[in-house]
Amino acid sequence: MVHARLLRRSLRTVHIFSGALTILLVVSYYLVLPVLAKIESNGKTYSIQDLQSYTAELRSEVLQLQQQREELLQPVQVSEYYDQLKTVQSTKYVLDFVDFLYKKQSVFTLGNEQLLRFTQHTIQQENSVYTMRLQGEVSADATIARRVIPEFLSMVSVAYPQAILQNTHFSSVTTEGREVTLFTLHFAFYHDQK
Amino acid sequence: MIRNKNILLIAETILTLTLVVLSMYYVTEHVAVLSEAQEVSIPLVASVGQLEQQKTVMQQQLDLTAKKVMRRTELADEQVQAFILPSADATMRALHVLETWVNVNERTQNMRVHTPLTTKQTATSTYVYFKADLHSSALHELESIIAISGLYTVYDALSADQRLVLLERTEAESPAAITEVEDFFAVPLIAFAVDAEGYISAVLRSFTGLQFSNILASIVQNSALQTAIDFASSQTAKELQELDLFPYTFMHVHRFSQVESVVKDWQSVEFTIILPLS
Repeated sequence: MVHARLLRRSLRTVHIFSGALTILLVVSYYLVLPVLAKIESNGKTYSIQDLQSYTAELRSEVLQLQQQREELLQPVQVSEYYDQLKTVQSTKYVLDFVDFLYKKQSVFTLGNEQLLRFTQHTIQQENSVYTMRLQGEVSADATIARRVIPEFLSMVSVAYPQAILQNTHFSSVTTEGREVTLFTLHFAFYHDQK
Repeated sequence: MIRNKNILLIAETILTLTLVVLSMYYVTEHVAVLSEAQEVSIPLVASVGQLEQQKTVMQQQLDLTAKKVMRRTELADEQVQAFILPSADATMRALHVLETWVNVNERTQNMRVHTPLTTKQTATSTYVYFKADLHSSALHELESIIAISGLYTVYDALSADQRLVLLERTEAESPAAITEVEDFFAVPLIAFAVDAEGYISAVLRSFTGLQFSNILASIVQNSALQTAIDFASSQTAKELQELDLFPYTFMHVHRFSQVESVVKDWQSVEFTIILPLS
């Protein structure tokens, strides 16, 4: 009975305290905190949500202004011209790719000897797609060729991610007592690539 | 009575525990709101400041550029419509360009022709076929001719990303220099190729820092501008200039085949190029 009375008195104290604290916290959460959490920017105050909306609105306005500026800076205002230009830019992309390949072949050497050599390529355009067939050889056995070609392809994919490797073919031949690995790679490019 | 008191005690205990849980909930919500305010709002305020400034700068730049647009674009539009957009005349000019390339390189012995330039007409295009052994220099010239075909100004030789990088630098370093950048973009490609240094120096006069200069140099090197600069020093380019054959219409590669020769720096090349008529 004494225990129950003691328990009741302690509980009452905790009860009053937690009740008062809860009321204070609720009032603070709904009335005080929104005021404290407001942010001032350029003489105006915003809630976080308002600030996020305002930022998104500003980004959209800046994008629109960028587009307007781009249109004003265009020296030629004939729209048909820019449609044709996209195709030329695709052609240039493919030609730059070829240039890159032929420059990179000299990277792969063993001692003083160049391992990788391209012998032939054909570019073809069909509908909206450019394709390229690239033939070459690795002057080494299949073990080394299996390292060189993936390394080369990895370099290509980093520099020209829009060149999609579609097909590969490998074969080994022995020429003058030396093993040579011949390869054919098929790439595809798309006109809307930059 | 004791039983009622026990029921009351239990009810009070439950209520107290509920109030404790509620107060803990609201304390954690307070912490969450205040830490969100700190973590989210500080970067947002920085972004807002930057975006507002960018918006103001761009509006000023638009006012500056709008004044010159009409005058500048009239001449460019005329040139493009007369010489570049697909037409029978534009096709003839492009064929003349290719013939000049063949003549120069045959003369300088950088080419051995197997099949001369042969054309086939359809309703919408002219197909041009050619086969020859080419020295690397002749091949490089051909690739340059194709790469810059249809390009009229510096603006056209840059990608959208490259132009945006230059414009963002202008906003940051010298917003009023937008008019100089506008003039730079409008320079005909062939004029730029012949005097790249002069045109670059002219635009750099409005910038004091090195950043714009370095970025511009990198962009020139990695765009069709460098192709045009390299091509301009060739004999073919000089003869094309004398014949006043720039600008010329678009050349689309339909098929291009290249086989490395056993003779160093030579390759056998066979191509079909499409010159659109419409």
